[in-house]
Amino acid sequence: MSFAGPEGSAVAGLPVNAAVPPGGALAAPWALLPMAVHLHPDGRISDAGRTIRKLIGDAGSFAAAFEPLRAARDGSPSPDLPDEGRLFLRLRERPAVTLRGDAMRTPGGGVVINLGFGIGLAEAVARFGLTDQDFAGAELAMEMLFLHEANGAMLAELSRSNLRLEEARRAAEVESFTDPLTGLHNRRGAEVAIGLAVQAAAGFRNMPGLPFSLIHLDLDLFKGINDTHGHAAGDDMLRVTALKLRQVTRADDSVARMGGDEFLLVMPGLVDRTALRRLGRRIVRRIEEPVVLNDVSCRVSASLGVAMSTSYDAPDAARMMGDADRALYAAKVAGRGRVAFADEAG
Amino acid sequence: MHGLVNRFVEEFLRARYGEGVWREVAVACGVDAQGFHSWRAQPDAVTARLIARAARRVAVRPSDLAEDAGAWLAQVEAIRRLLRFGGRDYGEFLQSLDQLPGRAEMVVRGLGLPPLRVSETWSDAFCITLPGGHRLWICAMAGILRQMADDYGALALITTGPGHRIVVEVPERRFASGRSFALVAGGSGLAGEVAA
Repeated sequence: MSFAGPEGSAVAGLPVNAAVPPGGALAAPWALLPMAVHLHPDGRISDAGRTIRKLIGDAGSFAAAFEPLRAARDGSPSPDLPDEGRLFLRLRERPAVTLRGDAMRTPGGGVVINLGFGIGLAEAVARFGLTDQDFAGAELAMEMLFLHEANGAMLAELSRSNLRLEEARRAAEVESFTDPLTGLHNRRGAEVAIGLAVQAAAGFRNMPGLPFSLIHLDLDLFKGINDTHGHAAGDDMLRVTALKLRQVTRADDSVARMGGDEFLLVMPGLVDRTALRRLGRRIVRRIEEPVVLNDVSCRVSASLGVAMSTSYDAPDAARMMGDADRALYAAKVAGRGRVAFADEAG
Repeated sequence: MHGLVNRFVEEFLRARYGEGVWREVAVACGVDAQGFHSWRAQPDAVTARLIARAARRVAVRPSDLAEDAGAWLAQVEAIRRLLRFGGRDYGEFLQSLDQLPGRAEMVVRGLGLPPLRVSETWSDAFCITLPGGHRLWICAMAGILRQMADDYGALALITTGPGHRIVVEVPERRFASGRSFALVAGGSGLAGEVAA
């Protein structure tokens, strides 16, 4: 199908040649073509539509107004006039604005070009303050701008939606590793922390590994609190204990409640026996400080079993946890408030 | 119902009546108070239940609440701008309304706005019919039309019903200067600020 629509016939019917004065006979079709330019054979602009005029200002010739984006084909009549056919141009004054359109030779040796905006439409509209009136009714400019706008709004809504999903995912992840009573890690959280510590202890390529210790801790006399003061008081004691453990450990250490009154501490980088013993005693002293529950001063103590990754050729999470547990048992047997090391427990 | 429609009701309740009222209504309707997912459909009944519950909570008629929601929506800057693409003045905007469901569908496939017809009944009066449109949506549409008259600075009298009909009388297309509208502006999301 050929372009026989109103726009096509208007172009075909244009009585354009140098002899016809601008305005006059041209006025009617030019109102339909606000983006058309009529060029004299020497490239001077003889007439320009109202919208393209806004874009090119008072440029007097094709060469002054536009820069062709594609090289001219051989045999073009003059460098000042575009070839017939499809055109890709950029504004000399505003190189960011590109235009596309068609050029047609007129009987008088001049050229008529009719232009439209390409993908840079929104930018051109913003830069030149164009309005609906500036576009020919047949142009899809308004639809394009509508889509441009709608696209932006939809993307904003989509990213809001994604952000919500991401937050929910993160919250669920943290929740699944957290002990709801104390806010410490739960058993799963501890397993992840130990897994990471084992990996770090193994080192990477030529990098030396970072050794670590596990401290398995169990409250002494806790059952008495539950029996005498009730489970709510017992829960309070666990919460206070969690707080104390957090206070005596470093930010990089992982503190977990494994269930009941059992806690597990993962201490990266801390494998000095003397330092560990000192830390263990400090923990015991801190936990032995009395706590007021229901207006009654209550006391518990703690036993600790310690396993150091340096005691193994290749530290293994399950084995180390088992050994720390055995050391804890040995500490309990030896009397409460003690610290025992796995490699000394025998 | 498309998730975006429920999001619209959610954001409206939050903006007009506060987070507390939204949460109350959401919980009463068995809806996640954190809000709807924009791209997850829900049964139509959920939307109607939300409006009914909210209307009872703030003691207004559901139809009035829906109309207010429509007026609010048309004030959300991104939506206002999209609507302003409909025409240069309020009359043109009304005449192009029949393209609105199609335009909306082009942007959000499956949004499912009911089709509407526009006719100029007598001079300066338009009749907008939404055959098969839900009563609440017709009220919301009336709210949108009321707000847009304001936006264009037109004087308009808007009445809903009988049937699936909205009548818009426009004695003055340019009564006041209206709000400015440039074809290209800084972007703003659906949940963006409502312009003052």
